[in-house]
Amino acid sequence: MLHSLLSELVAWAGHTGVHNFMVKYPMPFVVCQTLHFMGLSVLLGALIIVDLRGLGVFARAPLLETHKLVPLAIGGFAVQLVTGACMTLTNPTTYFVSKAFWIKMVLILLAGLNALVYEIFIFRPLAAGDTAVETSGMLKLTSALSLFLWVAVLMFGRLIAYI
Amino acid sequence: MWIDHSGWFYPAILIVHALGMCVMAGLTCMIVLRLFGFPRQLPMVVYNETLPWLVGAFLINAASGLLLFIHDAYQLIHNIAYDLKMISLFIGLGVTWVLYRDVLGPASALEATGETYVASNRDKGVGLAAVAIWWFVVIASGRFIAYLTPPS
Repeated sequence: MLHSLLSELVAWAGHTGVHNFMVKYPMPFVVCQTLHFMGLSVLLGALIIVDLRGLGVFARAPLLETHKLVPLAIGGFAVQLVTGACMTLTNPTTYFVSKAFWIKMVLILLAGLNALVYEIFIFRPLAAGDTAVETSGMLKLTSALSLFLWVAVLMFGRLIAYI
Repeated sequence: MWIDHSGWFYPAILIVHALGMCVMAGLTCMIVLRLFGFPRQLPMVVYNETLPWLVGAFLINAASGLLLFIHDAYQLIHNIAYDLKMISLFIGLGVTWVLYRDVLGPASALEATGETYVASNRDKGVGLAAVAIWWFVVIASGRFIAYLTPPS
């Protein structure tokens, strides 16, 4: 059942307009790869400051101020989402059958959920004036998980070519 | 070569190299955005304190890059993209050094006295040069190396 679902997914991807465009010229794929990496750089660059602050490293940064970097991380992720989708549609047989690809997708989902937990349980109370969250274990946990999950996303992204 | 003999070692080096590059390019990008005033209330001293992370990322990349070079030496010495990457890397190191020494250091010292730091055009220029080098040349040529490699 899973196998036939995957075959249908691969067949569908192979008939999309994006696929036809991407396989017609060599440049778009290389451009997508570069932009995909740049998107990750922005995402990780922003999260290094946000999450390390959460773990107590850049203690002189006001926690609420570091949160202003979060939209940059989301912007970086948006670039990755678009370029990643284009690359997946280009070579569906490589991506959809790769275990690393599906592990990466699950990790992204978990990173998204973790960010949501940060927003609800850390940022919102903090913005409302509750400074107790600054020393909470939840802040350290979500910050550590965020860094761990995104590094794992990078790792499994790289492994798509191998697994 | 022992890198070849172990199936997982080569991809592991690639992962480490990509992570180091992400940290360097990403942090430089955040510094430049701050020089342009975003987010204005985040103290410059925080950005100045990122130096050990940047140096750490660079050292990891130098080590992993050396292993990758040893693995693919023949292809790489005949690759224009690789030469371009190495030249730009040294320029990038110089510009980043200037960025921390002449921009971030004095900016955090100024803020420590209670003054507000506003980046001059020169400061912004140094930042933009650093980000342009790390992003557009190092990353792009890093990517293009794979496509400009002559057949072995």
